[in-house]
Amino acid sequence: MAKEKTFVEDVPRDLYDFKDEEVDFYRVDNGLTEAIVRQISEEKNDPQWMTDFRLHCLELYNSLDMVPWGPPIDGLDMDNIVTYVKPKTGMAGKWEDVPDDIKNTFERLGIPEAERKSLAGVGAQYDSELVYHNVRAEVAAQGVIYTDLESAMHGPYAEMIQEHFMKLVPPTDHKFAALHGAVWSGGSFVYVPPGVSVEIPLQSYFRLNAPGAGQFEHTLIIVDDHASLHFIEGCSAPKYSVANLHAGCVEIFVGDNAKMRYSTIENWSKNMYNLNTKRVTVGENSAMEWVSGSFGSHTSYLYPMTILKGDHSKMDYTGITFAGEGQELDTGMKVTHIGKHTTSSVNTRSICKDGGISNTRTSVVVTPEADGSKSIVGCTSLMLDSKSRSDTIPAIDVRNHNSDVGHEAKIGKISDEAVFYLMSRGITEEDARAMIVSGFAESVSKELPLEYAVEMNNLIRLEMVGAIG
Amino acid sequence: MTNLNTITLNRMKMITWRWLKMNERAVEFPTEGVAGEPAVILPAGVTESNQSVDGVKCGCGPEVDALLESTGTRVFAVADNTTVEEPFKIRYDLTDGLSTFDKFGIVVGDHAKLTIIMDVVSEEASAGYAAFQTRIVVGKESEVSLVQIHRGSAGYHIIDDFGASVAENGTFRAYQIAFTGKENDLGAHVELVGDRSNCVIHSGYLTADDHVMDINYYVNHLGRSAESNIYTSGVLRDTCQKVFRTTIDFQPGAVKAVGEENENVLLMNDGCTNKTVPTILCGEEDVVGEHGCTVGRLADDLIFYLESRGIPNEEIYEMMAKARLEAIIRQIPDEKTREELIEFNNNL
Repeated sequence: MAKEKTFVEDVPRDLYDFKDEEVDFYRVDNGLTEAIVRQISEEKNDPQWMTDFRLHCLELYNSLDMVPWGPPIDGLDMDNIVTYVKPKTGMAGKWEDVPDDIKNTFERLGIPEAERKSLAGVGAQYDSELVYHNVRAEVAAQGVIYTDLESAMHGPYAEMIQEHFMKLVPPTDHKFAALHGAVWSGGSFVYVPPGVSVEIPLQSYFRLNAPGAGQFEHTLIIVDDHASLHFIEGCSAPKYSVANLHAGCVEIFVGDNAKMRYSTIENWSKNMYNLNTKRVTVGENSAMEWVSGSFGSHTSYLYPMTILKGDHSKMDYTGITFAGEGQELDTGMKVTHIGKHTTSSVNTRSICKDGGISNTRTSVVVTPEADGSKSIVGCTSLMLDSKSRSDTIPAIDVRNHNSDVGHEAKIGKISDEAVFYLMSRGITEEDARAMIVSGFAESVSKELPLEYAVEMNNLIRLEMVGAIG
Repeated sequence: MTNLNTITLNRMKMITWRWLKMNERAVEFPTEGVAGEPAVILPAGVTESNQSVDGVKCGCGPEVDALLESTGTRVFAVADNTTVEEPFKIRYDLTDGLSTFDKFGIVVGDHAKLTIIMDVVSEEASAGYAAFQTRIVVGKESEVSLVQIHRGSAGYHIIDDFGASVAENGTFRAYQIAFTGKENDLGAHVELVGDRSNCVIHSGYLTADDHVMDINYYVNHLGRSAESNIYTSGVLRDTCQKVFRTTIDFQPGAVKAVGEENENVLLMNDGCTNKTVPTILCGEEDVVGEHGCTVGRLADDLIFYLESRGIPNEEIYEMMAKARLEAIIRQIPDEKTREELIEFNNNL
């Protein structure tokens, strides 16, 4: 139990808030022009189709309007964002080969230690480029590919990448998907061959150190038939007084009779605009699980989308959002049922305090073909004060009469009865309230591997400091 | 030849993804209409009035306000401490081929009680347009019930829009029952201004063929300890389309407020489109906002039970469809209207 909750005013974010000097880094100019896009493409040695694709995306970006429905993003001026910052290092396969300052950053974030203890492979991205990528030999021996996307585009999987890249999230999807297509850099390519189960997780960690920069990594995961994978994504950045932008993209293709779990702990700094897009298509008899914790960023638009394409496919989504002072986190999920007898189960939790705004936005679409489908969505929001806001906007579109869709939402404060009950058992009011908040978040933390559950609980503890009393 | 203009109505206060096509509705509607000539049964205790109800907002939005701007509002009043025993009845018999526009205002004083029944009917095979707005002011400790029934022919496009402002300890109940019509746009905007004010909206609809039902209910919680409940039960069949938007908006300071919305939709076949977006907006910590909805088919155990009693599956669905609407009809506070509608529902 974190006793300091009642007394400490500020959230100590030292764990994530340290900054590195930018020495001899390569930066393109601020803003977004054709010349910059060509410069990035050249720097990355893109194949021609990718250069053409980037330029097409730039045209789309310029033609698409800003979305009218989300939190304000007026503070994000693309003319002041640098879309590509490359550290002065290549990608290493051993931590010893990573420059000391960058290695130290990841040491402080606990990534190498996590790799040793509990991961099958790690990718570490610093600003716009991956600086480290490694996969355990026994996992690689099973035929699992876990590498950076750029080099994979020139290797034996080039065709597979061209076939799948931005096909699930087309650049026409929204303005920031188009931006991503134009300037994407970094990210990972994962391929799990048929019948292979990766027993321990892979992890990519994204660190954005450069002030005023954007990070646009692309993660492409293909889990073939009868295969399984758990992928963990972590991210953080130090806080600056200028806006930073994260417009990453995750595309996941899950084959038939396969299983995929994608866990995210997002802890961007509070000057970050996090406009991320994640999408999965799920094959027959397959299962997709999302576990998502959103704690950081100034403004977030984050709604992992699942397309349940195969018959009997299913999706579980568990997510928690914690919005504090100055934050507006618009999070949720989208699911589209296409296959017959598909199932989705959604459990979202949000907490807001100190003027934080948490919007839970969801959509459940059941197409006419999705006979016998079932969906249940639960959204629960906890408000810790009246300076904050919590809004729930669930949309349901059902077009099959033999389906069953349920939705429940609840917004409120910490129950006085629950506090009274705990106090009658000898627990102080402050501890009782903190215990209730921890319990509220438990449904997410219990879904994470132990190390990440500890990190998430730590984040909640940090965020709760000063919240009660 | 009727001049049609495109207007946008039923826009959600907080919009969502555009691709879902739920944020608002654009309709083609005549720019002008003739004043309605309803049959009005004015009970003792209700008088004509020159009070203004302009401050009361309705639910369909500013473009419907603009559409009806030049239509005069007939305002009626109930004095303080007056219980009106008989319902105030307004019945529109829509005329084939005409566009009927009308606006009503009803100001109910403090410690008063009134039931209003507004019935819109039309000849079979007739067609046309109708747009109505009803603005109601509910005084302190007063109780007002508004019953709106649509059983016009399948040829009509009807916009029916109401608004209510509810003072301290006031109660406002609305019963909106819509049987199929070509296009139905329903709106409601209720302001729970006074402490301990409350509102209940019971809504039931049957939409069939290729018809459209588009609903936008908004309840604004301003007073302390105010309570709102929205109960909706609907049946969809054939290739109809329905969008149901509800918003319960807890403003800062609306402490101890409770808001609940509940929707139950039965889809009788594939081919119909059911869209629902039940929104809760919350700027106050000390409130309870809840929403629940179930869409789709009947529960397996219910079907199993009824089938084991020898009732075929199709008949079970028909029976349950009628039962859903009847459950809403039974809430209507006027016995004669209740019985008439139950019979109408049974004969459908």
